[in-house]
Amino acid sequence: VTETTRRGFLRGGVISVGAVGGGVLVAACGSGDTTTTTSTTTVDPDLQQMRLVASIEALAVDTYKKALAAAGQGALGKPPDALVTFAQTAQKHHQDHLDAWNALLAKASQPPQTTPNPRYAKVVQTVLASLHTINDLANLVLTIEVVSLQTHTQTATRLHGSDPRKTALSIAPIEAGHASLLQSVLGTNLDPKGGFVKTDQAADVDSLNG
Amino acid sequence: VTLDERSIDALVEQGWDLHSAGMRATREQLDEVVESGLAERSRRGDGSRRQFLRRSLLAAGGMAAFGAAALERAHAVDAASVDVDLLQTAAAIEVVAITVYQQAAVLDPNVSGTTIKAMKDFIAAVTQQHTDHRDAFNAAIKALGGKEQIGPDRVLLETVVNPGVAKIRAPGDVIALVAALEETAAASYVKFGSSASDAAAVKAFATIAPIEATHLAMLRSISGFFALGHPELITVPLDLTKVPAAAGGAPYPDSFYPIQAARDPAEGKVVAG
Repeated sequence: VTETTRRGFLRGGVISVGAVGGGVLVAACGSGDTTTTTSTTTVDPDLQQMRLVASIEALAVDTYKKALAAAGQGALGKPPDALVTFAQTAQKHHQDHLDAWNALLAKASQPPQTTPNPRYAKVVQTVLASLHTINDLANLVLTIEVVSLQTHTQTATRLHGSDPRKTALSIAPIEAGHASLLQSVLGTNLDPKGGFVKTDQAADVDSLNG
Repeated sequence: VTLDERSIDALVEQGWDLHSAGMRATREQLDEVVESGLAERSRRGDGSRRQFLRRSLLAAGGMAAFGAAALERAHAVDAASVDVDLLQTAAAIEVVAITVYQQAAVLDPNVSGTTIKAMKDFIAAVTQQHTDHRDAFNAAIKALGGKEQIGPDRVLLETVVNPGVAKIRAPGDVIALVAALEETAAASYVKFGSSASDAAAVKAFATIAPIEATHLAMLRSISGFFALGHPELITVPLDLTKVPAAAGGAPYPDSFYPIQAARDPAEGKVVAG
């Protein structure tokens, strides 16, 4: 999942779903807001980073849950069976990822992260209410997958502990697989120049403050 | 279909020469991976920790501090040496992948599966990406003062590629071979990135492993369509209304990327002489 591909997706998202696609999500959740509070500035940076990725996993679990519910209601048209199977599988993966990060937080005597990242959750809520088609829904979860992939990739380079780094490294390829399937559904070709995961859309620890 | 050691060597050499021109175009991107890794190293404080330790040891005074500082330097050198081995093995895996994809591209299209446009495009794109990966690993090696690895991982060739090549009769066989290589590459980089010390090396592994996993995911999807006898369904975008529900299962059965297929970390290191 590369910068060029990502831009292509964002362009596609904005074009296909107007102002409700992933572009809005990423723009609204970007790291331009540098507001910080004591809660995130006094904590160990490694623990902060682990809580951040846990909050993104909680967001993914919550988003897939809501997406499946929305699709089940039929308001967006009948979803293909293959897409439903994918969403159910991806939701389980994200729950396992969340559990893994919470296990590491518990090992460090930290409370678990049980709620979705507040900054992203607000925007997801708005976007979910504005979707018109199954493709809009696929665009939204693709955005979550890309944010999660990039955040885990960045986390792998920032953590000092071997176990947390290994966790981040072993999760990122799974998110890449999710994103890959969604991109193939949405019609994004593999970009020959996109051989490296970028981190410009990775979530920032400031987003934990809402 | 045969792919003996001499032909591999010739192809590797040819590929390396041909790529020199193409490299200029991607140099900026590769430099960014290495430079951002170096910046991450600085941000992570690898250097400052060493300086702090050195100052502390000097403050302790005497020969004990001198000995401890020397020991600390020795550890740093050992860590860099291990990282170079990891990166050289990674580059050697990439050389194998490039060569096999190049060979796949020139097979009879009915054997390689390139009668399907999506498969043909996939092979071309992935060959370019693996070439960029090889060069990124070699750039990281040079930054650590090591020697570039331009040769293949010969153990991987002998144990995976040669048996796989001998079985090639149809597109499914080609896909099985390159999928095995992608699985190996991603698993190796997850494992190597977990044990690397240098931030630039970690960055290279972290930013490349998911891309190999993406290749594997796509190959598994493509393989499924060939297995179903409906390669015509391999299109961009996929028409999910025409594919079975099972095809929507996530590309991997596991929630965490397994590393059983990882190579030995020193398997592809450059041997002196």
